[in-house]
Amino acid sequence: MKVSWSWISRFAEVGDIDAVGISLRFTLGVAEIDEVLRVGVPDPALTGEARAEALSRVKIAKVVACRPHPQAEKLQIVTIDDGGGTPREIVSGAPNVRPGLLSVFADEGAVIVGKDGAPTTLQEAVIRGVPSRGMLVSFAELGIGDDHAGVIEVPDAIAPGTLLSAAAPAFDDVLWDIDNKSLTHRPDCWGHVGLAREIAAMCRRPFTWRAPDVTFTAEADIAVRDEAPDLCPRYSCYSMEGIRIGPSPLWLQILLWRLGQRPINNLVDFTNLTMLTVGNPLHAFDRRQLEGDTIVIRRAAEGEPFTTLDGRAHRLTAGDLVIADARKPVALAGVMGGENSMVADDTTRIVLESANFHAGTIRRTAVRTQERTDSSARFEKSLDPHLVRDASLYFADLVLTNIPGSRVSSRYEDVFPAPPAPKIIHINGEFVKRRLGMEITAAQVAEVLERLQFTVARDGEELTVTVPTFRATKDIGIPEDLVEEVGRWHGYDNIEAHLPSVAMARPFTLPIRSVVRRLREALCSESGFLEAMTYSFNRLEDVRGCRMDPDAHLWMENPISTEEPVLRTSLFPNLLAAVIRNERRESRQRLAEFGRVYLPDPAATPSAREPWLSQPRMAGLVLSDRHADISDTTLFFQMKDAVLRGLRTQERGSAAVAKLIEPPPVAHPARCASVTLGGAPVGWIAQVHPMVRRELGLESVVVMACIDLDAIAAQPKVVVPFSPLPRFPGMEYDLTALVPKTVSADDIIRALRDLAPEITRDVTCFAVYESPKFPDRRSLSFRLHLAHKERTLTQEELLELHGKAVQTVQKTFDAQVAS
Amino acid sequence: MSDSITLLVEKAQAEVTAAATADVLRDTEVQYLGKKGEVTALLKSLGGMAPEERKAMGKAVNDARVAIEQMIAGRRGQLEREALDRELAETGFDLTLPGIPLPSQPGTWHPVSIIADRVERAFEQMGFIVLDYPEVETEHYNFDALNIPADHPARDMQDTFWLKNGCLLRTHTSPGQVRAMHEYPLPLRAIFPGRVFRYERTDASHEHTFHQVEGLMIDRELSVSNLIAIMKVLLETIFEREVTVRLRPGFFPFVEPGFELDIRCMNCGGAGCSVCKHSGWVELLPCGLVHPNVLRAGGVDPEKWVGWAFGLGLSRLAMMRYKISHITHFMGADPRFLRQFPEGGAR
Repeated sequence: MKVSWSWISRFAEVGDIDAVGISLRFTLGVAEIDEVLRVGVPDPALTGEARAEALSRVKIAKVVACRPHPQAEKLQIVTIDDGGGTPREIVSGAPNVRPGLLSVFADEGAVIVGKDGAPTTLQEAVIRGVPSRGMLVSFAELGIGDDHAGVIEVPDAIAPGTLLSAAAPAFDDVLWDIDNKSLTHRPDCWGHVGLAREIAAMCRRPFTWRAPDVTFTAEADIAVRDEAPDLCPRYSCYSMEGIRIGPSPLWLQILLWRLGQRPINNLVDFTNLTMLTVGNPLHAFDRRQLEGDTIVIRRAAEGEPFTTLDGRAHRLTAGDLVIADARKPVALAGVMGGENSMVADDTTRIVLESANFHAGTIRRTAVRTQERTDSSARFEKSLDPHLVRDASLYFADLVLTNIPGSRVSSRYEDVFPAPPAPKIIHINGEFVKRRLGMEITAAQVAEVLERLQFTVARDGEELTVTVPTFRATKDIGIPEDLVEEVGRWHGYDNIEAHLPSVAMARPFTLPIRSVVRRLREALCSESGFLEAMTYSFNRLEDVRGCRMDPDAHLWMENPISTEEPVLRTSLFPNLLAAVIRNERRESRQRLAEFGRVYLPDPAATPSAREPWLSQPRMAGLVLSDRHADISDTTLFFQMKDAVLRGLRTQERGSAAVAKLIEPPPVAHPARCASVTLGGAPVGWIAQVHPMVRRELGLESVVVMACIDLDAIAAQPKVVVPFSPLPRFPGMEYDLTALVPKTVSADDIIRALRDLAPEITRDVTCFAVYESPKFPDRRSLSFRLHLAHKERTLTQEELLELHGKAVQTVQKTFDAQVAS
Repeated sequence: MSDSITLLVEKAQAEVTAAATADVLRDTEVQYLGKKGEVTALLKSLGGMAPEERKAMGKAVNDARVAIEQMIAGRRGQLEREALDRELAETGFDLTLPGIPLPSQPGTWHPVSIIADRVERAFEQMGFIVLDYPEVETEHYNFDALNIPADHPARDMQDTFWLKNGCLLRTHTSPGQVRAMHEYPLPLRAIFPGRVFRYERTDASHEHTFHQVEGLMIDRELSVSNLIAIMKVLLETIFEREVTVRLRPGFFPFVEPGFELDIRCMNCGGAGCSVCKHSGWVELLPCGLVHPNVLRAGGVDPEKWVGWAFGLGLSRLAMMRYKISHITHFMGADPRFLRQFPEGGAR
């Protein structure tokens, strides 16, 4: 929200305070200011006297005469009266320059916004042979708004020579842009009057605003019937006559531009100014368009059609609130008026509505109809119903002051059946002290609250606090709210920091946390994986490319892009996409991601509390090699090694691979394995399916591993007991065999272990060799670790074992043993 | 006649589904779409009809032809995939062969994990437990239980991703506050880091997916002073140097009083850059004393207990620590980025 310091200083005695300097205190004590802008001279480099000098060159001037430029058809030589006593001649090309026009003249030395948007200091120029000093300017050239249609037309009588900064204080001003979100809880700060009150309190200066006095007549023009007092706690209106629609006075046009509003006409501008000043939105109806003599506030009928004044047609619902005359709705309450009753250029009689509406209703309607207006933004914050009368009076006064011949022509209809009871909070000084953790007395608390216009009755430590109506609608309701008032007032920076002193607690670590941490250590610290993170959303083409069904995913209602509308059920669509993005630069990749996947659970019933799906935590690993041959299985066994190493750090029994019964569709149906830990399946390893590779356009050979981290965490911890060191020396015995590829190494290991179980402590396969000479066979080398518990092994035992081993391998597995 | 078309399509569907091999499927195709096929015959029969009828029936027959073509194409793809899977499954592959150690190469942790680990370690040393809560949430925990009822304008502060099933992606880690109150006994000291989502446009410092850590402490006696002390200790632990912070009022419905903690921008030292939107300060964390309504939602009696909470932006913290200028690097999985963070977990 844009705030004008010159306008603020109309309502509080703060005009001499540096608005730039005080803005930081406002940010630290009230709400966040996004930007502070000094406006008036478009060149921020100009300060002090140079700036004042430039400002003094911009003044009101009257066009006395115009004659054509001898050399240029589109230019005129214009005689102006700039108040200096002697008429001056300048050259102008603006289409609206004509004798009698009152405009704004920027003399030599003034700084304006040049055609390129950069600040330009005006100097004498010769335009097509005619010397010209200074120029008549448009709003845009003065850095006010974006209107460059022609030179400014001053509608009100201002003496030529008057400085623009004097005629329109908002011309030379400081603007604050306050972050709207940080005012969500401050309905009182959505107008300059409320902000002035807060700033006055902050600066310990008097707050001077009072609503003007307006005399209403005794006449009844239009009555009010509030059929929905729950949604419309207060509705007031009155009639005015003798209105003449025209442009607003110059000061108001400039103020509105500064506040981010485009001036429309005097009546619309007065309603907007009232909203921006008092904080309560208003609506003016053309009296001619209102049928009957009663305004009805009611819930809309389901499906009732209504066209708002921006020309959009809506179908209303029973949750919407409308303002209606005898026949038709004329406004969508608190959001926007209707096209059917809007003020027109020839309007002379109006009915002015000032009302208070239920915040949630207005918000719902504004969101649903997508009419998020300045009005709805205010009502949805829960405005103080007492603003209604202030706004009525302020608007009437603006009209009466600025439109000669206008008058109030009715009594003030004000339906306010149940003014809220004063809100009272009991609090004691000790509570504030304890919550803030700072030394503060009850008397000091009372003083702060009183300065913020709370009424405080103090009895020792006990305070009875009456909340002012403008803070009572939503913002302040419980003692904690008052703690905040005191805290922000004193400045949180002034609270000394002390660590809490608390009782000791039993240590506790969530199992999943140590699972993830150990795996991350093993893979990313030890095995050279780069930990990556990818989005939780999947592109459909990646899902389909991984041979998965998009319909088996959770779909987003409002995806960030239509290309990625589903939540991931696997880490691999995004990881493989990453491999593809990277593979041109990175011929080998090792990526690991730890994250949740989101699995729809068709059997689950929607619940108010728990999300109805499962979202297990997974680790997804990829190894890629752009230069590997598709038939090469090295990557697979590297992945196997890395995964089993990682799982062995989990203290949950032994890690192994087994046949994967149902490979996921993304996996190569043969080059895959189930991964088990402590005998339970916890994931799988697989090369990417050749079709997936083709579909995705993957150039590298890629092996994936998927580990279900929650499945690991669910397993009990197993501590493997120490095994006693052998008392007698052992020995190793190696055996290499050329084995058919159909035989698995594990089968041979098992057979070898069973040959002499009492002396065989372990059998491993330690080397694999394949040769094109034997396409159906591979050479496997096994090592038997032998020892006896009670004695040294004998040469005979070894020879016997050798004989049996060779025989078994040859006979059982059709292998050839190298001698 | 339209009934007979429907029947024909149904019959074709059954036969296509039943076709167990590519050869059978080809026969089925000929039977319907071939020169002497049933659909072709229907098309030929149109010739004898009145123009009006021909137009209507022509469309129906043509639709049937397209439908049958599509089901045959679909089934053919399926058979091809199945055949390939069978073929691949028959290749001799021994998964029991020994693993091969990967060549040694430095790995790295993701910078957000590094920062999260540091935060977790620091808090664990102060006696906090570390919890982990779901990313897909309900409106109840994400909003209602946090004192943000429907139609509250504060819902605008957190643009939300909604799922078609009615759940949502959590917009902050705060839902964990009420979950933790339900799950753990008091007094409670906990933090919960994790991934959060906002439906918003991406720029240098905004991402629709980022990481936060929520902190929650509930005890008999706690103050704003304690919260400030913990936050300062934490930030200095993470950055391993003195940090400049400032506090100012901030509105968050689930804390009262609530404030914003800003930290002097570490990317530019306060001079102004894209990370701090040229203000010199980076909004780092909202915090405050837990609102009594939130305590009540967690089954905690606000007369007897007081809590404070904060939500710290881990992604933003990582950006500051490593002077990362663009937040989208985090989710890009680009090795050139990921390799730059060799420090690993906290020691």
